[in-house]
Amino acid sequence: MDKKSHTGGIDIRNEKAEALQDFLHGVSDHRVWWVFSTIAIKSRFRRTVIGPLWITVSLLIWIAMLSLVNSHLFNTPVLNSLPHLIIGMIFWTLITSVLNECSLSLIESEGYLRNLPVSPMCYVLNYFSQNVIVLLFNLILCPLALALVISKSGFEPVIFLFFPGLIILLLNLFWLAVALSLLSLRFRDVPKIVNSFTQVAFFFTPVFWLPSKEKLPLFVNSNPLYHMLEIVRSPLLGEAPLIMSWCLTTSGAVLGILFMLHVYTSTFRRIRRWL
Amino acid sequence: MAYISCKNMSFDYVIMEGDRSLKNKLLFSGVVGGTLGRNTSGQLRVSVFDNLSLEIKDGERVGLLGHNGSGKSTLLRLMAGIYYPTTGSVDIDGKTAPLLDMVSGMQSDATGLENIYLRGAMLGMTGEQIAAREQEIIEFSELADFIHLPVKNYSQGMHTRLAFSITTSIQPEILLIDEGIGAGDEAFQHKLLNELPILFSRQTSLCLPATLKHCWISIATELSY
Repeated sequence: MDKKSHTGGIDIRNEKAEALQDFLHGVSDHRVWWVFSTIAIKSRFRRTVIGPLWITVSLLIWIAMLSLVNSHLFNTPVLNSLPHLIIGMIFWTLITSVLNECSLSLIESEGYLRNLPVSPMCYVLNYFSQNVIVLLFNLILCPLALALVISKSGFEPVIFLFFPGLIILLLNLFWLAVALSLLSLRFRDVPKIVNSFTQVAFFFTPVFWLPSKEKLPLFVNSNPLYHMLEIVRSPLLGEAPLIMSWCLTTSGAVLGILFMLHVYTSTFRRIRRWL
Repeated sequence: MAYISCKNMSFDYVIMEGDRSLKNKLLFSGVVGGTLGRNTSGQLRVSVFDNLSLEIKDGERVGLLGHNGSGKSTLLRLMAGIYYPTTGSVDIDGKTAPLLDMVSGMQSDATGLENIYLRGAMLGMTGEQIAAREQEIIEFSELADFIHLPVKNYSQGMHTRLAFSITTSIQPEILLIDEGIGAGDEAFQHKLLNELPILFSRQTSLCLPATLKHCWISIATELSY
């Protein structure tokens, strides 16, 4: 990697190859983004008493308050909707914070981007892996939900569908993170749009309320965030996700990754000029 | 053999921000900066270089002189492989270590030690390589126990000491230094002056802006304007 040749102008084919190489190098240079994200998580909780456990505790507080409101609003016993709520909130947190934080990742890494010849992918992956670390802390609450589900309806092997579901979810979030970070760097309205959209999406996506599976309203059925949530939540609740959810999320991941690569390779040389 | 070679290189910044009135004001060029103009798609741009060719060969130490905004830092960023030229080309052969902005290239909430690992990784070192040089880096920076404090508590000079110590520890073949290095105190600058020739014995090219003319002229073999 010590030899570099940077050319300008309109040799597009060369640019694409260079960008693709940079992309792969950035993704595989896990030392950089991993050191980055562990330092960031540590710094975030420096001088606190319980450290990163705050991640888990603050989610627990959310879940507790929501389940109280829920049982009052919908007049259901707390325990009935609790597993749905716990798992829903764990992954909703993942989805929305990846979208919000990663769209700001390149903007906030301006100082590094200007001063070090490190692939921009490292900065996106820094924020992405921080959110995966947060997910691991939040998954501490998962056994509670699983225990409630298994004690009620017994052990269903459908639970193992969670793993392919998680992989497809992370792939979707990955391409969204990269594409949004680039778009946000060029068009500074994008992170604001993402932020207000994810806030309101909390209400129209079934995270803390249960839709009836027989007849999904259009705003749920056509909501990609709902399907992304379903492929991980349903298996853990002992139900198989809808075939439509699998189809939409899998094709979304494939097309999305192609789209993201196209955006990355066609903007690569200009990324630092958009700072 | 390390070298940097720029051929017919041009570089433009495109100005993204500002309303029309600001852009119009910018068009009246001042004493700083490059030439302002519009590109073919009507965007406001600053032309920093036009058709620049430059060759820096193995072992040469080059000082860059120019007024504020003349493009010294931009040229260093092009030579570090951070920016891409708009037209023309830049070829870099050799392990490059850029020392451009000391403060913004660090994680301010993290300790000095954590920043050693971060910057080391960004400069291409593995965890073991950094661990092996950790003591050497701390000693050279003379930060002693301050290394365990968050760098947000550091003075600018301490930032400079740390950044310089990490960057030179990778034993680069090409060292690109911007003027921020001037923040180090007199004692540290003396140390650098003594240390740089030693670095040169195993390293090669060096590019630095010449705000610190008094220091650099004694070590640079060539000055570019």
